[in-house]
Amino acid sequence: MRPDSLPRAIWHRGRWILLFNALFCAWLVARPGGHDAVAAVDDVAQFVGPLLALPLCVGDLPRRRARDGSAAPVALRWSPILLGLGILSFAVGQMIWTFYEQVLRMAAPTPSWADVAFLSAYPFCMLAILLLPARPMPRVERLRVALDGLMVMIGVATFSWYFVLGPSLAQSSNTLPAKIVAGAYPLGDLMLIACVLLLAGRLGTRALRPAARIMCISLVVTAITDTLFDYQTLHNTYATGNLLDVGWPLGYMGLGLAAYAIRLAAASDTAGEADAAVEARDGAGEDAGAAVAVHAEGAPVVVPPLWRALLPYVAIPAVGTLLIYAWFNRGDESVGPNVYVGAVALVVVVLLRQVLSIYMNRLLYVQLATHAESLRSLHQREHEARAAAETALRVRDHFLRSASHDLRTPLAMIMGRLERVELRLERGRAVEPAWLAEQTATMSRAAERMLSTVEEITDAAQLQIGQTLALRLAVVDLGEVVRAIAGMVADANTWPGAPSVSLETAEGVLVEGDRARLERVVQNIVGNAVKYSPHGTPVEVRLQVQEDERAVILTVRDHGVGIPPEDLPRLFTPFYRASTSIGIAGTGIGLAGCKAIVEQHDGQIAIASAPGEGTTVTVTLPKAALAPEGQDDADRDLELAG
Amino acid sequence: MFDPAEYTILIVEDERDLQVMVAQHLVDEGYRTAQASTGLDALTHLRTRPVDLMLLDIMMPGFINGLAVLKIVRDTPELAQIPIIMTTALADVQHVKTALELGASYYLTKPYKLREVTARVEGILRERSPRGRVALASRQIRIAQR
Repeated sequence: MRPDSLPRAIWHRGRWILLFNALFCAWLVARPGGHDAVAAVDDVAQFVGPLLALPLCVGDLPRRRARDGSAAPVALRWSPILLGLGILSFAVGQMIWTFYEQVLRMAAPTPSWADVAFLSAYPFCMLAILLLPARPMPRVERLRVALDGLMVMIGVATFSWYFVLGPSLAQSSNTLPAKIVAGAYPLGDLMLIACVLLLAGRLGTRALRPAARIMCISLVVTAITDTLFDYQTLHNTYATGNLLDVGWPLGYMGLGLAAYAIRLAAASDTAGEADAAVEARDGAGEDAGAAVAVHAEGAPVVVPPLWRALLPYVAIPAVGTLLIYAWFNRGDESVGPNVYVGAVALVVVVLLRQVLSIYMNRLLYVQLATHAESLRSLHQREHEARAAAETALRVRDHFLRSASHDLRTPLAMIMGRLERVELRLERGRAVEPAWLAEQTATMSRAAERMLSTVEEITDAAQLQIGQTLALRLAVVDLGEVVRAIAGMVADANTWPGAPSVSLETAEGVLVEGDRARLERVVQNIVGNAVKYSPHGTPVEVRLQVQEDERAVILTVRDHGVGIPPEDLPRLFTPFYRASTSIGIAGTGIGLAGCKAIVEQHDGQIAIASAPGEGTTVTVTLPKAALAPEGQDDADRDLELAG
Repeated sequence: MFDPAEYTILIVEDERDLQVMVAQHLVDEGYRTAQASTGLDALTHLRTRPVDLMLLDIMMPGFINGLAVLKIVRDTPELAQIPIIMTTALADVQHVKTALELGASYYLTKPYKLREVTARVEGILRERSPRGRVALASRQIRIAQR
C-alpha cells in the first residue's frame, strides 16, 4: 500500500529498505546461533545496510522534460551527495566499531577513530538539510517558525540535559577529548532535531515535500536511537545485539532514500518552478504585506492543520512534568538546576511567541479590513458596470428599433409609389407625365430622407469609434438654412394641435461649414422642439449675431415636456434618450451627432431645461467673414492692439 | 357583387406622403377615402362621419397614438364594429400583440405592398358585407353538416 503523496519510484526503493530492516529486526528477535553470532551479524548489518543505500545518493537521473538544458540548482545537486557522505561516515565508523568488537574482541575505547567517523556524519547531514531551498515565507512567518522551533528545542534540550547530556558529561573520564566525545553525541542529536524542526517548519517546495518527509522521519529515528543508546550506555544496559540497533540502518538508509527523492525532484520541472517562486519572493521584497499579496495572487492559501500549530506547545507540559520530577528527585546538584534554566527559557520564548501572535493577529486584521474594503468597492464597481451595460443594451435595442422605423417609413413611400406605377402599367392605364412626375418627386423626397438617416447613422457610428467627421466646408447662409428647415418642420407637422414655429432670423448670417451637416443640426434641434411639444405649445426659433460680430447664436426654445435634471448630463451620449421621451419616435443619435458636428465647426451647443417647462437649446458657431479676408485681418489686429 | 365604391376607408397616418399615396391608391381601386394625421384627428372624424374600415398607424405625434385610438374605438359601442388594420414601421412583437389583443383585425408592417393593402381591405370588407355574412354562414353550416 503506497501513500498517495509518495512517488512510485521512491516507494519502490523504500520497500526494499523496509524489507532489509524487517529481516534484521526478525533476526535480532529470533536470536539464532547464540549471542556471539547475533552480535556479529548485528555489527555487519549495521554498515552493510547504509552502504547498500549509498547508490541512491549519486548518479544522474534522466530529466523528465528537457528545459532549455538548464541544470538543477546547485543546492539540489549537492544535498544528496552530502547525505551520501554522511551515510558513508556512519558506515565507516560502524566498520571500525565492528573491527574492535569482532576482530580485536574488545569494546571500542572512548575516544576512538570510530567516534570520529560517527560524529562526522552529523555535519554532513546538517549541511545537506540546510542546503535545501525553503518555502517562500514572509518575515513574520519565518519568525513564528523560528520561535516554535525554539520552544521545541528548549524542551528537547532540557530533557536531553537532564537524562543524557548532563550525566554523560558528569560521568565521563576527566580528559578533554573524552568529555568532548561524550557531549558531542547528544549535542549532535540536538542539532539534528533542530534541523528536522527547520525542515518541518519550512517544509520545502512542493516537489521536495516527499524528500523532506522521509528525511524528517529518518532523522527522528536516528536521533531517538542515538539518545536511547546514550541513555543505555550511561546506565550500562547496552550490549550489541540489542533491538535498538535496527534504528541506525533504518535511519541512515532512510536518509539515502531521501537523497534519492531530492534527486528525483531536481530532475523534474517542478523543482525549477519552485526556485522561480523563491526568486519571485525575493524580488517582491521581504515586507510581510507584499509576501502575503504574492501569496494571495498565486497559489491558493494553504492553512496547516491545527495540531501542527499546537505541536510546539507540547514542550510546556513536558518541561513542566520534568520540573516536578526533578523537584522530587533532587540529588544530583550538577544536573537539576539546569532544568529550571530550561523552564525559564521556555517561559520567555512562549511569551515572545505570544507577543508575535498578537502582532500577527493585528496584521491579519488590518489585511482583512483592507480586503473587505477592496471587495466592497469591487462589488460596487461591478454593480455600476452592470447597470451601465444593461442601460447600454436597452438603449441600443431602442436605437435599432428607431433606426428601423426611420428607414422603413420612407422606404414604404418609395415602394408604394413604384407599385402604383407598376399597377398602372399592368392594367394598361395611361401614365401621364404629370402623374409620373408626382410619383418620382415623392420617391426622391423619401430617398433623400433615407439618405439623411443613413448618413446620420454613419456619422453616429464614426463618432462611436472616436473618428472625426470629414466636413465639406463652404460659406453657408445659416439664416437661409434655418428658414428652410423651420418651414419644412412646420409643413410636416400640420396636424391639429401641432405647435406653431415662430421664426426670427437676422439677415446674412454666414458661417463656414458643412451645409448638409449644419442642416441636420438645425433639423434635429427644431424637430426635437416640435416633437417634444405634444400640447401644441409654441416653438421659438431665433438666429442672431453676437454683439462683437464674432459668433452667431441659434436659440430654439420650446415649452414642452422638458428634460429631468438627471438626464441632462447624458443627453449628448449616443443613443441615450431622456426618460420623458417615452412614446416619442427617435433614434437618440441626433443630439450626440449635433454636438460632434457643432464642435467640429469650433462651436458650442448647450441645453437648459426643466421638466414640464420646456427646453432651450443654444448653438454658437463662429461667424464667417463678410468682408474680404485682408480687411478682416486688419480689424483683428486693431482689436488685439486695443 | 362587391363594390368598393360603397365603402369609405379612413387612413390615419402622420407621414403626409405616405397618407396621400395610400389614399390615391385606394381611390384608384375604387374606394372612397378620408384622411387623418393624428389620433385626435381620427377620433373627431369617426364621431362625425361614417367609416367602414380604418388603416391606423401606431406611432404618431401627440398624446393619442394608434394603440390609444384602437382602444377608444373598441370601447365605444357605436364604433366598436369598425374593422381596423394597424400599420406600423415597428416590427415590434409587443406592439403587434397588444394591437391584436385590443381587437385589431390585422396588421401591416412598413414597407407594405399596396396590393396587400387592397387585398386585406377587400377581404375584411367582403366578410363584413351582408352577402359575405350569408356566404360565411352557409360555409359554417356545410362544415357543421359534414
